[in-house]
Amino acid sequence: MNNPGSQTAPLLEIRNLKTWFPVRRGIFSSVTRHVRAVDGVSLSIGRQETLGLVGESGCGKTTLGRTLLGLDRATSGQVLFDGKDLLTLPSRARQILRPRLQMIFQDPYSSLNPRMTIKGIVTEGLVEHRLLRGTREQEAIRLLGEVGLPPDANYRYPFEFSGGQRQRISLARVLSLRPEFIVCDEAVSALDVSVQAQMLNLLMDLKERHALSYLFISHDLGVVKHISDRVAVMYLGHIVEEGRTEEIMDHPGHPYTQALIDAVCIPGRPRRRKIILSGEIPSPINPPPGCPFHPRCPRVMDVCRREYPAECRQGTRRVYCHLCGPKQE
Amino acid sequence: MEPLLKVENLTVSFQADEGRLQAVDGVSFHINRGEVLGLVGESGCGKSVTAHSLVRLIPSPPGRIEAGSVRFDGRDLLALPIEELRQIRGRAISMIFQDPLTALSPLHRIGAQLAETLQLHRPIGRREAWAIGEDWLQRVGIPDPAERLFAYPHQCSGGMRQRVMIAMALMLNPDLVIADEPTTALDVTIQAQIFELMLALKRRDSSILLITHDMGVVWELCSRMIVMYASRIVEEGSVPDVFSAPLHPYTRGLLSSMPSRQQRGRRLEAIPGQVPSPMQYPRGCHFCDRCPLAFDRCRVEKPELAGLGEGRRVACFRAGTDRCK
Repeated sequence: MNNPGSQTAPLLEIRNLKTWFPVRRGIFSSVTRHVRAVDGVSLSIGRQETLGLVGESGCGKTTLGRTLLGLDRATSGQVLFDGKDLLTLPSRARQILRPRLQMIFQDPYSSLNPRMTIKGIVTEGLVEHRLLRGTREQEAIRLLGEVGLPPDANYRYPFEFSGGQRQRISLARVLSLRPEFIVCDEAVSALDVSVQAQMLNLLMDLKERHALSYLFISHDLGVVKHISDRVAVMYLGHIVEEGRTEEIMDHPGHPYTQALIDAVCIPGRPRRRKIILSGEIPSPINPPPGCPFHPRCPRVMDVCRREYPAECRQGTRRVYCHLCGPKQE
Repeated sequence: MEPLLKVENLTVSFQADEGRLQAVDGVSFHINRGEVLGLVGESGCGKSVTAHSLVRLIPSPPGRIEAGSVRFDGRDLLALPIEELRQIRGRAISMIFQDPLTALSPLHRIGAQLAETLQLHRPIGRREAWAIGEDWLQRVGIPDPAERLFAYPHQCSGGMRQRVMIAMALMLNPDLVIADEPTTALDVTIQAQIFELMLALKRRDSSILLITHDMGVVWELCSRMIVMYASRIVEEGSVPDVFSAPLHPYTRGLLSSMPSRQQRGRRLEAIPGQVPSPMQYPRGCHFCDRCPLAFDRCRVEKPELAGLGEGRRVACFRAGTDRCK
């Protein structure tokens, strides 16, 4: 088993990415405010590595995934895929790279065209990018086999399949283009626990078989912990902590990560709650100055209200918190 | 001590184009005072239909409660005249459901809906009712409660609407709360706040029937649990017992599927296949097609829920034998 991310150059490198959406009060009024969905994110993902991205509603994790794929337009920053900045590439060059970066979505019921047969859905990308070798039928059968679906699925329509099966079909479709990198945006969240387990196993098998990298976006810490090599925690458009999975999950450094992990119900663990965060998750429109977490932080200090925390490195871990000094804790 | 709620042989079916579907098949259980009972199962197992049937909120047609009794405080809710049932619903028994049938009215402000619930069951004035409503919004962690009172449901996020419904359910100090996935749409940190509220309820001797697919939530809040599969109860017991020593192969499969119970990075032991559709339930045990321990008898005979002592019940021919280990 190789060391994930051991290649010197990361496959994907995100540098200070911002994705802001303008807020207009009418068609003609000027823009004064922005939804700062992604507000200065830097991350890197190596080859054959799974980076889990966790956070709650409104933290920007979905927008981050969509920005990487070009589904939302970035406001500033860089996204280097295999050394090339996706945000500044001319569209022809971008089109050529497209098969290598793919995405699977949360809702299995709206992500497949209900009027196409499975064969059509699964081979559509191949035809579009002129990568088809052999007949569509042969390719489709091969791809369905990879995700554990029988050949007769080819001639059926999405409505005939369950949620879990539809996610497999989405995977088959993505695999047709032989990607290197797949963004899984809450890809298993809508599935029942036993179906989720099947899907997670499949994702792990495919990662081995095809040397894939994943950005695994989820609010479910248990699932993220299981499948990820490294984890990044997001809050209000910012990464607050990032590092190897066991490190972050077993010894969380940032107060938000600590509260998140404490809030998760894990059978076997004693039930007493220790950290209850007060208040609400704030809106990303005009966030508070200083550290974005300070209004809810149980350990807030004066400096937190004024200054955004600097990056603090502890080995392979990054934390953004004033409590974390430059030296080891 | 007489249980607060005693359900016996509840059987509910639905008329669909393809024929009659069995949604709930001979379900029996009880809830004691001050107890939180978890009703667990995956999509389509019949847990929501069970919950709705307890207070006769199944649309009929196409639904039909074919048999059974639901004894609450000595009276059978399924046989009560509708006027008496309405007195109980909302006050002695309150519900937190997800469906439009019992969700918030889009035409009225939040404050008015809270006040209406209060004034329907208590002789208090409008001003006092709104004040209590505001207090409850605060308690469920809604920011700016005074302003939120004047908002309409469509102006609030899904999570916020869910919390308003929780407030409405807890406000009148009910004896029993039937909560169907009360925290699914909520973020974990908000969920933690809601759990504190529900535990406070329990300390005041109210009972909760908590319906969920999330085993973690069951572990957190429930003292006892029931597992349902394809319209039937397959296992019952105290939460620590069932988690540490599950007896039914389905329960075992469910627990093995949970990532938090397995070693990181290893393959999960998923249950092969999928839940059968109600039109195609196997004869005999509904789980037999997916069960690693199935033998001939399982395919022809329905296993009854048998007591094994200390509140443990299992519906499996293998239970209590050496083969079930």
